[in-house]
Amino acid sequence: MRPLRDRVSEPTGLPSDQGEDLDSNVLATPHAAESLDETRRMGLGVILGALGLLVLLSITLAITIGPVYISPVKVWHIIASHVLGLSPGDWTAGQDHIVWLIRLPRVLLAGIVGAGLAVVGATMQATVRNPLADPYLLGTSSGASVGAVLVIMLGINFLAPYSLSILAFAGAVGSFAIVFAMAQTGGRVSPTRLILAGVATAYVLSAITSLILFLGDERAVRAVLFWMLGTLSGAEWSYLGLPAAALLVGISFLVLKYRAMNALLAGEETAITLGVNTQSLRRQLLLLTALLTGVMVAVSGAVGFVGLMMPHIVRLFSGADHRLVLPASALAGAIFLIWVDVVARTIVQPQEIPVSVITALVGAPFFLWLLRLRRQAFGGQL
Amino acid sequence: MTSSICNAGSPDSLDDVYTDIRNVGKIFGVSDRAEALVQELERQVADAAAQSGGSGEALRVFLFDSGDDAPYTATCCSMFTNMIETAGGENIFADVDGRWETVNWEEVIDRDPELIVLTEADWSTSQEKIDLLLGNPSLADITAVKEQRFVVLQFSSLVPGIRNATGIAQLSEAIGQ
Repeated sequence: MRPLRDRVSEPTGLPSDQGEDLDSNVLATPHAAESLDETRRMGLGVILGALGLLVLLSITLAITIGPVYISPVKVWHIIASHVLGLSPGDWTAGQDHIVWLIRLPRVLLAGIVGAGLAVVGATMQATVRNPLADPYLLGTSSGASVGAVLVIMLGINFLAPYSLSILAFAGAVGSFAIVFAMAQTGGRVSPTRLILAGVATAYVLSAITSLILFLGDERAVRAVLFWMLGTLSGAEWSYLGLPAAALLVGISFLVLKYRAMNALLAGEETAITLGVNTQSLRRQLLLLTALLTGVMVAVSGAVGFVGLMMPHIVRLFSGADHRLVLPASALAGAIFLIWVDVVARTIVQPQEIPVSVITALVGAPFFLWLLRLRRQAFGGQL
Repeated sequence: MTSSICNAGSPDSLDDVYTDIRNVGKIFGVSDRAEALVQELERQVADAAAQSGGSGEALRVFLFDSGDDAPYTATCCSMFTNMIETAGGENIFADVDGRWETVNWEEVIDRDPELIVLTEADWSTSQEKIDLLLGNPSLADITAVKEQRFVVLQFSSLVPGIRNATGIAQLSEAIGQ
């Protein structure tokens, strides 16, 4: 890599056809330059490697925590026996099922959902250039809630046992389609219109959810509420495949687009000047985030705050370069949600608390703090 | 107010039910009929207890009332704990405080019940619960699930009242099988 300051002052390479020559320095406000310097010192690999290790450590510890005490050594014996195909040791079939069929899929699902939501949040914040953007900005969570409430309250169950996931996904993507169509003017999509259309659509869909809840059976309300606040309970191996695949494809695509996303964050005109086709890029990013959010919401309910807060935390340490922000947000989101879920399933055991209650209890104070630090957090742009 | 509610701090017992019946008899001036009813119930319970024989270790029993992600069950001080002991079994959640609590599947798997009691109620049918127990691979190795050893009781026979005797008879029959 050439020294940053050289590149900042370098006028060449502009405009390019797809922004390929554009580098992270488009965001080189004094603060961003400073944190990029720091980033270079520590090295991209070191940060991501450290976060990756923390993810592994979190998974390791989270599996050993649960209502039934099983020693950490035994937990890892059990997992090793499945992964390596060893013969069972001195544990009961029950302990084996607890570790392999209940805890491990749940911890992994927490990691996948946390990573997915954080990446979507980071992408959305760049796409609409708004620090308040989160994965549900385009009404996806309220759309998914309508789907879920239909299944739980009205017993629409023709696709059992995946009715809830399928209808929640359909609701999420459906609401995105509405918002996207509403936000178009003359073949263009502007961020402000997207946000407004998203908020208005979310209101309509929330009203529909409330209406169905209000008219429906009281006993089912608790189940709906639990779902709307996000829960990872009941996770099974069969729930993991699709979200994991979607996450890998999504992150790979986004990381490949990191230069263009950096340009987009710098501003519409800057990005166009730098040769980014902002309209086409924005469409691609929106479609991708809607699909990813839909998949995540379908398996976990509407887990709040992760997508909003993780990218901001990461940027405080890493600067705004998406080459680092995207993968680091994913890893940080995974760590965060794994531990939130540990708290959710143990703090008042044997009962469980919805995940969003805990993410928000942590997230809201964080947000207030962020407001006070806003100039630094966003490089003085906002 | 019934004795079982008065004694909220102590475990439900059949004695409370008998006391209530005698009190109601006294209030309405039909003490002899109340006494006859108590004796009839005592006889039924004694028969049921005798039938179970009291041989060997108490059978581990789990009451599955409702819930899917987490089961709702009867704990320490519920009438069910008392009933199942009379019938020759033990409630696997007898050590958990309270009467009715939400527990978790990990604990159920770990405590490995040999018999599962399913309540029949409009809001949660026994068939729904059987489907759930047989459909979840993580529960497949629970002894009662493997042997499909289930018994269905009306919810009303599990709360303090005159139906407890019938419930005990059903439980003791299921345990004897």
